[in-house]
Amino acid sequence: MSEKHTDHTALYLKVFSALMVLTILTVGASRIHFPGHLGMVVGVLIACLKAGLVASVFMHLKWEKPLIYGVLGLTLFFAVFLFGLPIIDFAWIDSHTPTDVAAQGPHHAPASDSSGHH
Amino acid sequence: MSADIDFSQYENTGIPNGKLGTWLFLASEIMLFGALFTSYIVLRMSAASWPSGADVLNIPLATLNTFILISSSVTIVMAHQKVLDRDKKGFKLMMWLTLFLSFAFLVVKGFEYGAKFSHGISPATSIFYGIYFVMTGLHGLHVVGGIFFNAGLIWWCDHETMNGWEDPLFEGRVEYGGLYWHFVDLVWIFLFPALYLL
Repeated sequence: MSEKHTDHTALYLKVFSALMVLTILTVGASRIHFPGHLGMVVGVLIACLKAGLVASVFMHLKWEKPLIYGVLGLTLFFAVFLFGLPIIDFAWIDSHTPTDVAAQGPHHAPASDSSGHH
Repeated sequence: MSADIDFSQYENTGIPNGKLGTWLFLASEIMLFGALFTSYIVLRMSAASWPSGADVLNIPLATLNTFILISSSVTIVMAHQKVLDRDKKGFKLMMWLTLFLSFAFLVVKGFEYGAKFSHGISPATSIFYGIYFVMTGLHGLHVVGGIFFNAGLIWWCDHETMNGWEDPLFEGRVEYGGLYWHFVDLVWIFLFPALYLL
């Protein structure tokens, strides 16, 4: 119990300023035109950094017991696995669709079939 | 109720049951918002075109709301510190500040929504606005839920027949309310760049 009674106020205020600075950074970075997908990578990285600060300090995960880590690890495993599948699937379909079919669009063929022009 | 309460009956797993329950609930919330973020990614990948957030959304208002929500995370974690310090006045001040900031977030969000509706923009306008309203709307509902729980804690601390402030378990209740509130902040930390900036 004794470690719970340490005064974390100074640390909380440090994290607060870090979160404010990172918010300004991410808004500023979004105004810069990075080549390719670099802008997206920078935005996601800053968001992950902010999330890490909130989770580890404000949510006390830094001082938490292994059981909580286990619960979150299992959640993270299923989240990455289940949410990764459809994303990989869509990325794969995108890169394997022949350009002539993609240009024609998938709804063209059935439309001419069912319209029944005489 | 004496202060030397036997905590072991509330800690079947070595950590307080309330804390384990809160984290399990947050795990289910991760799956809920994770599914929505996945929908966002898949919809964006398969969309013929996707608007730039800067062109269609109000970034200054959303940045203000980010500052507001981060500040409210700090005030609620300070409220928990005040419970540990046995400073009831400080606790109530920090909780009232948290509530004020929560309402401020909703008011700013209301202005954003109002501007969209007055321009005839609704979830039906486009795929982008569909996912925008669903995700920010569900997040807004979570803010409303947090307001109820946090207001309940302020009411509870003065409620002597329910033991309130003197209950040894009260510190945990404030911590779990905070955990939920930080999660709401976490969701916004990802929503803000996803919808507005990238």
